[in-house]
Amino acid sequence: MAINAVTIPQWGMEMSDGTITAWLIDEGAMVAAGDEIAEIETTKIANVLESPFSGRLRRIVEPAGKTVPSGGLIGIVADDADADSDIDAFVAGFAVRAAEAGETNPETSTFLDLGVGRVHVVRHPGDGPAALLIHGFGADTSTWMFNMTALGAQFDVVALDLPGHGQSAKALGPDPVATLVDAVSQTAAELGIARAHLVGHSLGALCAVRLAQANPDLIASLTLLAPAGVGPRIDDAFLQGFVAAERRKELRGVLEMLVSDPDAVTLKMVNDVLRYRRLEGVGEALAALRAALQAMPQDDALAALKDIDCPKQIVWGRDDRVIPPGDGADLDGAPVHLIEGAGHLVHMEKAAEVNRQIVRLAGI
Amino acid sequence: MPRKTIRQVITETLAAEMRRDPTVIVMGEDIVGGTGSKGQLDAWGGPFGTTKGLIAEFGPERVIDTPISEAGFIGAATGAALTGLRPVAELMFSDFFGVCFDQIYNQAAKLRYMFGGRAVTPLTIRTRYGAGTRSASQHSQSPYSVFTHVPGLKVVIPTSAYDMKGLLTQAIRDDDPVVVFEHKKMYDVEDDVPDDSYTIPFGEANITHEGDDVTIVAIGRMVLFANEAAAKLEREGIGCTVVDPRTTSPLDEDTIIECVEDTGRLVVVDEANPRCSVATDIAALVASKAFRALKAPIELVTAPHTPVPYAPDLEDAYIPSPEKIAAAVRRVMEDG
Repeated sequence: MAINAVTIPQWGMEMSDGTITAWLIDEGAMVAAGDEIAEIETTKIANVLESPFSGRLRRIVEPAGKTVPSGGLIGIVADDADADSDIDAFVAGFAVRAAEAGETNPETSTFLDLGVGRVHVVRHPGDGPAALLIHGFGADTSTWMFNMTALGAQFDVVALDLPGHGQSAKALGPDPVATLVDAVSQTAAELGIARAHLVGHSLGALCAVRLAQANPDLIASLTLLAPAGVGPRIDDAFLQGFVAAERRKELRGVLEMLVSDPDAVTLKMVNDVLRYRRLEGVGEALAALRAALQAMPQDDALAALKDIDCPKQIVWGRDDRVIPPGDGADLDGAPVHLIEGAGHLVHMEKAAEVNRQIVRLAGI
Repeated sequence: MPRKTIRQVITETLAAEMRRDPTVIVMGEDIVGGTGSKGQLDAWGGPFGTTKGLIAEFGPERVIDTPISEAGFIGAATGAALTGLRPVAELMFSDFFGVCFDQIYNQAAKLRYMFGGRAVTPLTIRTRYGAGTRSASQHSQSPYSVFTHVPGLKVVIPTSAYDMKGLLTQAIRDDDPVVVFEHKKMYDVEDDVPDDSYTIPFGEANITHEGDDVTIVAIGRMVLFANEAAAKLEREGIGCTVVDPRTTSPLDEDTIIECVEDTGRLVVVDEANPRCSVATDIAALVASKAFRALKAPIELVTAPHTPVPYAPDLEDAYIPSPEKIAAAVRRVMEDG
């Protein structure tokens, strides 16, 4: 017998609960592990929950519309052989067992004092090889909220706030992009990471290519998500709006450019960007990065990509309006995976698919 | 992100600004010693513990315990501001403004104007408001509308630890007199607050809840109650947008009007007395500038026009509650 609990996941350190916006399958239906079974809305963005188990959805414990704490029971996947009375007992005892187990989020948040200044690092420790996650322009480690836990099952996952971002130091020096790249390599060195699977998003992908070029021994594989520097430029309307949009409505419009489904942009996402932009030094840092991006050749990273000799891939949302994808043809030896129904934040909107691609490329 | 209480954030912000700018000083009654401390230094950090630890780092020249004379030390702070310092004066309870209002109303607020812009008055007055502490009618009022009425004063009412840091930092760095209202019941309210410095511009409202049906504009502590009501109403299928103006002078009129244009209904919540108040001011603003967007009459949820009662049951009944706010929202929904 196998009675399995479907629970509200812990997506990122900030998440405390999730709201079930819809069940995607009916009670009593068969599911396979990996099937999308429910839509969960967090304060930041909505995501799809995949069934961790195969079997029958014997019970929907919490209906659509309910808000449930992370770790809370929302459904039961079990074999047909399991008696209803056993399932009732499992449901009744779940909260007590969970409290006794006292499971906590394994993610840790630390600060490193590096050559580039203070760097904030979030780590999901694991036994597998290291994976280094590099966020894009104006983002921070929270952009990986739907990736950290899933990748944590396979990798020792390390994400950092790049200089000028999140809780890291804000000064970028005369060559801002070089400072970002230095921050990643200094973080790896400080944590004793000699070899890592690199995942970069947008501007972070450009940094990943530069790092791989400068330090080929460090890179085990290279996944570039909606990368800057391989063709189309980051839409300057986005950069400009992100830096300068004054009214909340205006900023929301800018952030809607990031996603395929504009409804995915929540009040918290808008408020988080406003909070970030108010920090001392952020205005200068973002302006310097925007100028650096405009000044560099638009295919700055493309030539380098050719010479990087490790498994590599590019993942792009079909609806990306910030850096529009091409036709899906390989780019200098790197296969391009176009993902439907995703915009620039492909790793948030289609997290499970992106996570699978990262694991597959790493050959785990 | 570190969690901090409003109390912690006030001390941290004062210390950070004092380190950053040697002209910043703090002064007020009991802010070093504290009532009943027999002259002991840093006993309490003031009646609510907001200045504890400052004397040790900055010394008696910059952390000044004043005589119990608001007229004296608010006047001295105004003069200090006019002549090159950046004082943060603590008026222990805003109820005491009556004895020092000439210094605020006729002096601090007017100086830049009367000197043709050739003088600035970078004075911050931190003060306390609000009922609910069983402190009777002379220590429980919410008189921010009186200050909002005065041209030349800026009036700030932070409702979270995050906002307190950004708004208090802005107040201290601002070249005009700013009055910052702290609710006595909110010092232990916690929030994620960055260690790095930041400012929140005055005149930029916050939106703390989003919904399509009703706009609730709430002042000070009432923002917390409005959020509670909005969460409850959401489960009933009524969507509320909660607007926290954050500063009543300047007032972010655009955000209030935009939200009313989106929802078509307005409830204003204010703990202060209702006549000539911030609540009536906001209602008048919407009635004159967004009347055609309204589907129902504006509802006001305020205290009654009486002093704050001392009897606990009466005091509880006096303060607007999440239940009263929810009832007003249901009324505007039924009305149109």
